[in-house]
Amino acid sequence: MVGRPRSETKLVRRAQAGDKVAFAELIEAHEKVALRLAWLLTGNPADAEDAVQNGLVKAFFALDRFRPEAQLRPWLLRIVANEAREGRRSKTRRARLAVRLSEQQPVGNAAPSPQAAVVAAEERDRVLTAVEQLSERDRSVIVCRYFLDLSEQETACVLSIRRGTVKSRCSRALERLRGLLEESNA
Amino acid sequence: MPDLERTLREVGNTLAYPELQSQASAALSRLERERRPGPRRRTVIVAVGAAVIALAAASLAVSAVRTAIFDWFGFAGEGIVVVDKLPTLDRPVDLRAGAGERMLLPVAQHRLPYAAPVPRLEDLGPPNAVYLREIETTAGPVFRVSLLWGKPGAYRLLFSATARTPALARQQSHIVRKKLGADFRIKPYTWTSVNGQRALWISVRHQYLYTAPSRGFAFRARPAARVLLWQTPRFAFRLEGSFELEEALRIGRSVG
Repeated sequence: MVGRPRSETKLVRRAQAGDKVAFAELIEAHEKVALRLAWLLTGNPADAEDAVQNGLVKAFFALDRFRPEAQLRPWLLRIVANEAREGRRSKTRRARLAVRLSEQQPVGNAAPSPQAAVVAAEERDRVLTAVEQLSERDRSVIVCRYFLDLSEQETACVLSIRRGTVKSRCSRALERLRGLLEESNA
Repeated sequence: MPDLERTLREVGNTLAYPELQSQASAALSRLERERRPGPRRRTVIVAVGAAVIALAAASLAVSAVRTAIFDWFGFAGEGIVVVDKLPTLDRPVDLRAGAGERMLLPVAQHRLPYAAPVPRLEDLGPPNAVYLREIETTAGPVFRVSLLWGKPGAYRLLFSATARTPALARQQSHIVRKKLGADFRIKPYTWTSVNGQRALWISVRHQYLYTAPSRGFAFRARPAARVLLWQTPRFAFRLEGSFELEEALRIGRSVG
């Protein structure tokens, strides 16, 4: 995890004093990941946007309780995640990762052969299908750790659990995922 | 599968995210309108009923509850307005006002174009009164049947069922569906469920708004007891009384 930029500290202080322009600058850096998190948790773009909007308003009003030594991104993401879960509960709708994979190759990989690319794409699709079958608890930790590439500490903050719990929950989620994939193989 | 974690990261990198609109401007716009919640802020709520709820927000906006926050919650025929201070009622109004025409249950059932579901608990006994309200809307009539146990001035239980007809749905479509600034901090209600259906339990002091038939779209208010709201695909239910949540849920589960 990268440390908080010094400018962010200043912006936080200004926002805590009620400066909405500073708050706007703060959220600009984190809104994209917040929207993605909300979408992955709600499975619906409109609900995700609502969750982020409500979360941003809530974050502004809660800024005076934000600890200066804490990281802003996970704190903000936790508020958005809570809003997303609350919104979903209010609609009694089980979140599904109604997602699909894009055609693009994973970043950083050397261009594979066409056949290898097809195999890899099929594998990713199979994994995504298995993730959709996980419980919400398991899926949340997978989404944070792997899909959004949050650190264990950030994931702990977002999910309001201890760092050790992130490790154990992640381990169990991976185990269940392996089981599901083996079942699908069989 | 030793590469599972790597594959998961690849999945994350190749997800086709939808076009998600930035909410920063909308949030900042709300911040301009909404006050920072004060620690002593009193929270009371007004539960809004009646099928002509489309006009409720406008009516309330010019009434004593100018700080109202309207929230739809997705319930047919019901909405919630959160206010800082409950409006003062001019005079006590008993719950017969706005309930509709009093009649026997079989007569009400006969008049309705569907079989109205009612609570079916032996220990509840038959209702003391039944009312049927037919609300004319531009999209057709909306029916609400209400069953009263006890006396209007000292009732034990008031149950009402509103059919979720196209007319009701169309009426609701006039509502601005986006929340007008629901205050995340205020939770004077709790979520629960009735037979697997989402339900809202309101146990704080509040008022019930209704349209008086002879007064056009003017809203009147009466004090309300505790309320359980829930709905099925066909009906929206309202259960009001001085009961605890467990009892409300027990009655609610029996409706059929």
